[in-house]
Parts: sequence; structure tokens; C-alpha cells
Amino acid sequence: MPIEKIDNPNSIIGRKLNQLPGSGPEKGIQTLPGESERDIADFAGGSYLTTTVDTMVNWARSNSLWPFPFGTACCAIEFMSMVGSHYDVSRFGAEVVRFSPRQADLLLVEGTIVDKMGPVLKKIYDQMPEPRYVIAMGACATSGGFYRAYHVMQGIDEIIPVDIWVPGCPPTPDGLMYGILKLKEKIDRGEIRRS
Amino acid sequence: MSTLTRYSAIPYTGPAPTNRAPYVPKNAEPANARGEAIATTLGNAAMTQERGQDMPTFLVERARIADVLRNLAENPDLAFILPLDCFGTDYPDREERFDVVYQLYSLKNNERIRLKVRVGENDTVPTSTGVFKSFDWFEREVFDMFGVRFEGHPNMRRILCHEAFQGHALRKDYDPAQRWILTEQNVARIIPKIDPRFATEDTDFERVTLNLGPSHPATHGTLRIVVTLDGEKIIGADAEIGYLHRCFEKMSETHTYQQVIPYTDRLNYCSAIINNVGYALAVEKLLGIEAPARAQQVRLMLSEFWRIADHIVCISANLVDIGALTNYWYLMQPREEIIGLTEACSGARLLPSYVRVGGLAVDVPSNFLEQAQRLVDMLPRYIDDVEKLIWKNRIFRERVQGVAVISKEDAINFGFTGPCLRACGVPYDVRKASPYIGYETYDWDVPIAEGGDTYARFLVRFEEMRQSLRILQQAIDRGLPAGPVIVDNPYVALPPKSKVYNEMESLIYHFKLIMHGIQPPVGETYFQVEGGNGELGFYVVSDGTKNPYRVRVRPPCFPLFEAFGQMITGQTIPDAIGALGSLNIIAGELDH
Amino acid sequence: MAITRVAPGIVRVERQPLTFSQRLYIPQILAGMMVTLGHLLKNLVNMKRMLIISYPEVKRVYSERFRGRHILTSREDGTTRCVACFMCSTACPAECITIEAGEDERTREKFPVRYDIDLLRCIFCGYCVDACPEDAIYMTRDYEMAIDTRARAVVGLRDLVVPPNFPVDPMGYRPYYGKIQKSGTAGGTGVGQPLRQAPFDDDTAPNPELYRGGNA
Repeated sequence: MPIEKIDNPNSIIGRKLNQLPGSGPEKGIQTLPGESERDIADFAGGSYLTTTVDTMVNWARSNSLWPFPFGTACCAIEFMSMVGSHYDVSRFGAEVVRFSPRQADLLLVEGTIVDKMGPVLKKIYDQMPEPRYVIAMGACATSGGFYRAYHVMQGIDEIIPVDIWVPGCPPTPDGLMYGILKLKEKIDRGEIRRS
Repeated sequence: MSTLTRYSAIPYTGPAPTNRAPYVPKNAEPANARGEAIATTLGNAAMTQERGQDMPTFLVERARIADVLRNLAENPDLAFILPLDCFGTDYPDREERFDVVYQLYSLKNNERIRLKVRVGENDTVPTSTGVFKSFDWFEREVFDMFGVRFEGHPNMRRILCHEAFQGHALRKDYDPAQRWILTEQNVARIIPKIDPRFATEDTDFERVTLNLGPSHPATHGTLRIVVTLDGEKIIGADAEIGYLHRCFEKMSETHTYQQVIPYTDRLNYCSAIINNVGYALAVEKLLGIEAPARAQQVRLMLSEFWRIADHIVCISANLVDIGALTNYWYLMQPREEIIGLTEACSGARLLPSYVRVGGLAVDVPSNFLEQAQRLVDMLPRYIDDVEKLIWKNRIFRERVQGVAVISKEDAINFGFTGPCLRACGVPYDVRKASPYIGYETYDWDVPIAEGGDTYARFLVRFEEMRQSLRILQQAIDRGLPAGPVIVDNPYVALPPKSKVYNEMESLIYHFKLIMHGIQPPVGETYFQVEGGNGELGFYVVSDGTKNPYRVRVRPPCFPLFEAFGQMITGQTIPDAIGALGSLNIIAGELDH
Repeated sequence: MAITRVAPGIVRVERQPLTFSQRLYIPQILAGMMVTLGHLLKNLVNMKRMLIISYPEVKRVYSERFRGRHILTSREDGTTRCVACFMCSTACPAECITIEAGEDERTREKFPVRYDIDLLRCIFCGYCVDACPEDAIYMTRDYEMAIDTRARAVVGLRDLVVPPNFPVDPMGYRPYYGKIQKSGTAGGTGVGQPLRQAPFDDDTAPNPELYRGGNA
């Protein structure tokens, strides 16, 4: 029996809020790590005055994420699995993999970024048009992982901002897809407004 | 009888390892004898034999090393023509603190030799790039990591670390976490040397220098090639690596023997389990133990599955590069099934960390053989599909035939191993040449092909997948031997959990092993396995403590990519892209 | 592919030149199209057997050894099973576990005051589970861990500890010793746990092979 999560009917991936793990009738893990500490107002989009146009724009953006796979290591292989035939990411409009930063709006950093690669990553991020989103995939890209070493960047947020962090080494394809959905939700809510 | 009294006696009755005892390899005697024979054959006064090693080992005078290497390669009786590895080791307490170690292989006699040169901090070593082209990059790596200078080397600059890096990382006095930040201003410009064949050629085209990578769709992530073009033709190419230098060797020195296993996973992440097996076998050799038969067979089966998966990634990515996308969808599915099987065994999809020193982490699931049989039945169907799509297709043939040719002599001189060497017609496979974990008991063939071009590499990889399936079918037919999957030695393997929870002695062993780690005897050893891309070797030096003193991985991709510049000179860019995929360069292993 | 045996144990894969009909190019393209068409028809006829997993509506069921997010189990009286022995943080190659120990005044037992796992550092190798002598840390099959703030990746006791009757059987990677009794607790020195009761179903014969091999 797999552990099922409680899905909010209003969103694909929403979780039951305001409940400590295990305190509800379900004995599964219901919250994301740390999510229980978050205010419900944050989730509702709180201080943003969301107009219909904005909603439309957000909807369009969130459903046409064109990823630039900045794949360097093991996580890139899992990304290959995700765009492969078994997991079908095109259902969310994110299958148009672009290798030119000018044509992409989602930077997927997959794998270890070492210091030698730092300027390259920064340059690619700078070339991407607004609005641009960044997902850091896997332990190395998010924090350096277990490479506390002389040549490894300790997380790409040293040089570029990150919207979604996906733990795992490497994350499973579904774990990464969850990250993409989470980003979609974030854009839908209008939380990321950088244009 | 209570649980506590029932398990009062521990099963292990062997001797406790005495810390800091010297390591005596099992084949020390034959290696000594063979070393004497080599010394008499050569009659070179610069060589002093070092006894008690796992292969003939010599200490060579520093100034004479290039001559000795040339003698070994040119002597018709010895013919050590395949350069395997050249690396350094640091012993800061010694007067001449560095060892530069050379390892050669003789295809004729199927034997290995190790040469050591002692180097002080201010000394230089004569370069051996004139003898083996392969050592160009290897010597640069020694310079980068240890600061040993090679006299007469054509291009003595850093290779793995970036341009702003200060110090030499693998020296024992270098702090493992000391970083240096590279800014865009410091990035060095690379201007490739123009091949002499084309240097005087006068065409109507202007010469253009073009940078490919490191972030380029066709370079798979982290490879960087700078080419000089004359019209469409590449007339000079220089490869730059190090964009995924994750400091595997330094990290190994700061972790215990068991903790290195997750790091080995991430060397060649397309066939992680083979790295696990190679490392575990190297440490087991150092410890003088052998994993139980059941563990060995599971290791063998998973290695073969992952060899297939490795070839699948190579073939499908390569075909995408040359424009055949459909094969990618067809080949990813069986690979997904292999991943599923690994996940059922170990709990992780891609990087299983399943092998432990002394055996396996846990036993395989009870339906392992049925699942394996299902996969073995299913895989040929997918391979057939792809073969139907490409073999007789003229576009494919013309994209791959005669592209990026490397001659047999060059391939050997560059230190090629694995499918790329076999595509030049050299039937060298570690699984046949020096069998391990029982490969000698299976009936299978080493596929070779003639030509040394991209097409030949395709042919070899496809046939190798079928041969792996043959091995797997035989392994399934034999069934898994019963018994434990990890050695019953509390100084190497954690005791079973049920005993840890119930018994004081097991609990103490458990604590001791985690706190103090495995402590192999003092010594050095080298063990090689056939990885997805060639000979994957682990050279482990132990000083008797819980952390390895030095772990050196012999990355098969390293010489392959080194030769790439030469292979594509005279070709066009699209052909270079097709050739790069067929070499299957895995950056994690290349940059280690 | 034509194969010639050149020596015992060595086969040569022959390079085959293209025949005239293959050089004509069109027939082979059509033959290739037939393969793809076959796949298309097979999928159309039998949509249910298509190999796609439509995440998140359909979730792939990973094996029961899947190494996902960690949990800390509890004893039957609700206290954390962890005794803050630092084994897991020692065994962790990523050094992502931070523990601070406290002492229970009543039972004189150590327990963790703080137990943080940095999920971003964690490489999910399972070494903490192997190292735990108290059956306290398990890994679940939860892989949906994406977060939007780095600080929230550090999960503490509040997120890790699960109630005593948490269903562990389909859980994920956990210390492996055969089948666990569902109702029983698995060893340790827990308060409120019946002492000297065999914690495992298979724990009736002193056969070490049962746990590390055989048909577990």
C-alpha cells in the first residue's frame, strides 16, 4: 500500500494545511517539510491584488514553461528519464526543451555546479528573458550535497536566485515533476512576479 | 530461553585485524618472480624492484623514467604498449615527498607493471608524452593536483581545477574545503593549435575559432571543445575539461571506506553499480576477504544489467545527436525497467549505493530472478526495434561510416580501453583478460569490430548488449546461490540488526565499526573491472586508519576524450558531434 | 548483424555494405516507418497498457525499499525512539544530520532535543538507517519534497517524528531483518515495551543467514 498524500481539490498538489503531521485522521505524512509553520495567508496569494488579466497571464506562463536543461551530472540522466516515454512531462506544457537560453523561461539546474562552471551558469541565467524561473534539482545544485570540497559550489544560490528546490540525489523523475508543478502553482498564484 | 541468551555467542571466530599490519597481496610471490624476470630482460640499471606488491613494481630513477617507459613499450618480449594510468601520491613526511606512479599493461602477455618515481617539491620529471600520447593529460593532472612539474611537456597548465585556483588540491596539507572563486575575468582563452597537416593548406576561407560547450546541447553537459575551422573543416581542436571536477579523490580521503561508496556511484552515473563493485573489490583485495557467492552473483548480474543501461544511454543519446529521436523513446523504456529492478533491490533508482565492502547492503528481493528473467526476455525486443530502424538506413550509415577514425596503434597509444578499443579490433576486455566475480565461468564472447570509426563503435556496443544478455541468461539459469550476502566479519560488515538490538557484543561491534570504520592493513593495491567505457581501476592506499590514504580512480573516459581532438581534426562539426556521442564520455568519471 | 568467430571467446561484428535496395533509401525509410507505425497501432488498440505514468493523477508505486524522506519512529508511549547516540550523523557521508542530546529525568535516558536533517544536503544513501542501533530512523517512500525556501529544507523533530502506531510496513528503506510484526515494536530499550519478546516474525531460529541472505 503506497502512502497517499492528501490532495486539495482546488490544486493539483495542494496539501492539507494547518495540521501537524499525524494529527489528522490520516496517518500519512501530510505536510511538506516545514510547511506546517507557514501561514495560510501566504498560500492564498495574500497581498497581491490579482486581476483577471494577471490571472490569465499567469495561467499562460505556468502552462508553457520551456525548460533549459542545464544538465551537468547524474540529475541530467534523471531529467532524461523525465522527458522520456515513461514519465510524460508534456502534459504540463514543459516538454519543449530549449538549448538556447534566449528561448527558455525555466532554468533547470541539474547536477553539480563546480566553481569552474560558475561563470557559465551566471552567463546563461543573464541571457534568459524575463520572466525567468529557476529550479535547482538535486543535492549538489541546491547545496553542494556531500561535496564539501575545494572545487564545488555550495548551492547555486551563491550566484543566481532559485525559485524551487528539489531535494534528492538524484530526485526521482516524479519528484522533479512535483517540483515543476509546485513552480506552476507558484506562478498561478502570482507569487513570482519578476517581469 | 530468552532472546538475549539465545544469541550469546557471536559467529565470527577469525582473528581480529591488527591495526597497521602490512598488507601482503595474495599474488605477491608470482609478482616478485615476474618482476625479476622483467628486470633481467630489460637489464636497465635505473630500475629497482619493490617487492611484495600485487603486480611487478619498480622504483625508477627520476631522470630516466621516459627511457624506461620507452624500453618497456619497445621490448618485443614485454610489449607494455597500453598506458593505463599516471598519477601522484603525496607522502609529506618523506624527503622526496611525491610518488608519481605509472601503470602499463601488456596486451601480449596480459600483465601489468607499476613504476614509481620519487619527486621532491622542487624537482621536475622528464615528460613521457613522447612515448605515450595518453600521458599528456595524465601529467597535467598530476601537475594540477600535486604541483609536480614535467620537463618538456608541451602544455603544462591546469586541467581539472579552474584558472583562479591557488595551490595543489591533492597535497595532504591542502584543506579539502578551501575554495577559490572564479570570475569571468579570469577565464582563460583557449586557442587550439592548428594541426600541421592543415597548417600550410591555403583555402579561400577565413579561419574561425569556435567554442562548443560547456553548455551545448551536443556536448552532454560539461564538455568543452574549442575548434578552429577552415570553412567547414576542423583544422585544430582543443578540449577543456574540469567542468564537473567534484574532487572525488580528495573527498575519499576525508571519508571512511564505506562512505566512499556513494561517491563512487557518482563517477560514472550511467552505470553506477559497476563503480561500486570495482571499489568494493579493490578494498576487499586490500582486506584479503572475499564476498559470499550470492553477493558476487548479484553483483555480476546487476553489473551486466547496468552495462546494458550504459550502452542504451550512449546509443540513444548518440542517435539523438545525429537526428534520430525515435530510438531514444524506444530505448528509454527498457532502461526504466532496469532502473526499476535496481530500485527494488537497493531503494534508489540511479545511484544505488547497493554494494558494501564485503558484500551487499541487503539481500535481493525474493522475486529478483523472475524480474531479471522478465527483463532479459524483454530487452531484445527493444534492441531489435532500434536495429530495424537504423542498420539499413542510408542516412544513418553515411553519418557514421568513416567518421572520426582512430587507428589501432593510436588507440593503444592513447590508452583506450573498452568498446572504443574493441572497435579498433583489439579484443581486450578485463572480464576475459583477468576475470573477477566469476566471469570466467560464463560462456560469452568479446565482440570486436574493424575500422575504429563511429560505425564500428555502434556495432560493438550493440553486440555487447547481446553478450551481456547471454551472461545474464546463464546467471538466471544457475539461480542464486543460497547463503548470506555479506561477509560474517564484524570488523568489516555491520552485524545483522536483530542481533544489534538484542546482543551486547553485536551492539559494540556495530558502534565500533561505525565510529572507527574498516581499517585495512597498510599497503597499496590496484583492482580493475570492466566499466561501461573500459577499464575502471581503483588504486587504494591504506595507512591503517579508517580513511583511505589515497584513492585513485582510473577513469576510462579520460584517455578517450583526450584523443577526441585528434580524431575530429579534418572532419566537420556535425561529424564531430556524432563521434562525441559514440565515445560515451561521462563527465562525472572524466573529471572525477 | 553478421558475426564471425575469430578466436575462442572473441567474435568480430562484420561491417556490412549496403545492398542496392538499401542504397535506394526510400524502402528502408518505409521499413523504419512500419516499426513506428506498429508501435502507434499497438498503443492505440491497447491504450491502457501504454507505458506512460500520468503523474500526479497516477503515482508510480516504488518498491518497499525506496529511499525517500526520513521519519523518526516512536515508542508505544509516544516518546521518540531515538536515543541521540549520534550513530547516524557519524555514518552520514553528507554530514547533514545535526543532533543535540538531552536527558530524560524520569528514565535517565538520552533523547534528542534537536534533530535536524538538511534535506538538501542529504544524498538519500540510507547509511543513517543502516547505522541506527535503535530502529529509530526509517526512510519513507515520500519523494515529493520540492520546496521554495532553502531554510525550510532543514526539517526538525516536528516534521520527522511520527506517532507510535504509524504504519511502517509498506514504508520504505528501513533496517532489514526479515518481516516485521505489524503490531510489535522492533527491539530497543523502549519504555512500555514488553521485554524479551521476540520482535520479529522470523526471529525464532538463531540462523544469521536468515537476516542477511536466504529467502528473506
